[in-house]
Amino acid sequence: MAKRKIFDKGKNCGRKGFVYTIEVLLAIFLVAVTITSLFLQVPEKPQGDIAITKRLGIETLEYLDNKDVLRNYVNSNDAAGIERELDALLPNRLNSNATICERSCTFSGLPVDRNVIVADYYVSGYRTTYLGKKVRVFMWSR
Amino acid sequence: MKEKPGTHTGNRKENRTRRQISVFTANADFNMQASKKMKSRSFGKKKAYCKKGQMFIIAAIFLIVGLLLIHNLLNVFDLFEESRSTTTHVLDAQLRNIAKEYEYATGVASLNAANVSAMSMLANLSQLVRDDINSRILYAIIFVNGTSSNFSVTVGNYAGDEINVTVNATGSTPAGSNLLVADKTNSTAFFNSSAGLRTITLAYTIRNETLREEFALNITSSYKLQIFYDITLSNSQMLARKKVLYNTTW
Repeated sequence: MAKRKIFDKGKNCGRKGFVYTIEVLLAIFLVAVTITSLFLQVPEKPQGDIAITKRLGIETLEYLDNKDVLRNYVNSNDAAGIERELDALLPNRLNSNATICERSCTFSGLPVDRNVIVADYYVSGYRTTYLGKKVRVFMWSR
Repeated sequence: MKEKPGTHTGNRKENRTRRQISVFTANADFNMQASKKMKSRSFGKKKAYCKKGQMFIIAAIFLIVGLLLIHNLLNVFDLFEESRSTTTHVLDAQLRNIAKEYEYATGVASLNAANVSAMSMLANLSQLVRDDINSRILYAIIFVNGTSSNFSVTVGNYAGDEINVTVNATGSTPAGSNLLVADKTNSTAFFNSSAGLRTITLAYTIRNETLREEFALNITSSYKLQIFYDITLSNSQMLARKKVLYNTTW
């Protein structure tokens, strides 16, 4: 009788072990599915875009300066020329406008319903002439 | 309580631990009672055993709920690091631009009335930068007259506070000069010297901090415009600083 009980208990242990294994596998499966679904999507980063856009604007103007075209535009006060260059270089997702000024810069025609990012680039002179001006670029997403 | 034959004497507590296993061999009643006890014990073990098995699922549920609650926070560190990295690049690009324009202005000044031009150009440029960016600028213009070998040292202060500058020059008369320079102004010290290598030392105190800059000046028969500038740009998170010694000779 006792031996039979022990034998029956052994059968139950085998069944229980199977159920435990299923439970563990189910638990692992649920956790794995949750982790995969949570981290599958790349989150939006709105705050980082402002600094990235500003950096883009400054480095684009630096590129134009290194190409020896920016100072010529500033010397001849040709803001439209700078805008044409920027349109060709900046990504399509951005609109831009530029102005050349000394101490105070004013510009009208900026959108009121979007974030406008401003980047300044200083130009001290052109060849033998001291200019003391800056190029201010306004950028916003389309 | 009726004593049963074959039971252990000595401990007659009613609540026995489940680990006590009594072996009854003599009496059939004992066998029946023993089998009943074994069943109850095995049933209790089964209950306890089943409870342990469900703990895996419960732990998994806790883990899933925790992940759901904090998964947004796990990306915050990346956002901060990227924002800080980009801000650093922006400051660095601005500093490169400003430093380059100081050199360009010095070059333009050397083609005009050098000493006077340099003073007004650098003052104008420093004011332009100070209007827009949180910055501290200090510059020193050393102009060497190639004909007389005399030189002048002009200190420009756009550092946000008044500074007391001591300018020393080896092999020159006077050996040193003291200048009190207010913010957004410049001040000049004159020295008589002769051809040769001289050492110019600037020692100044600003905001209870004493700084000292030293550079060499080679006086020859050529005109020379040497400029030292110390520019610091800062925002709420960080600052970037650059010191440059630039000279042009004609």
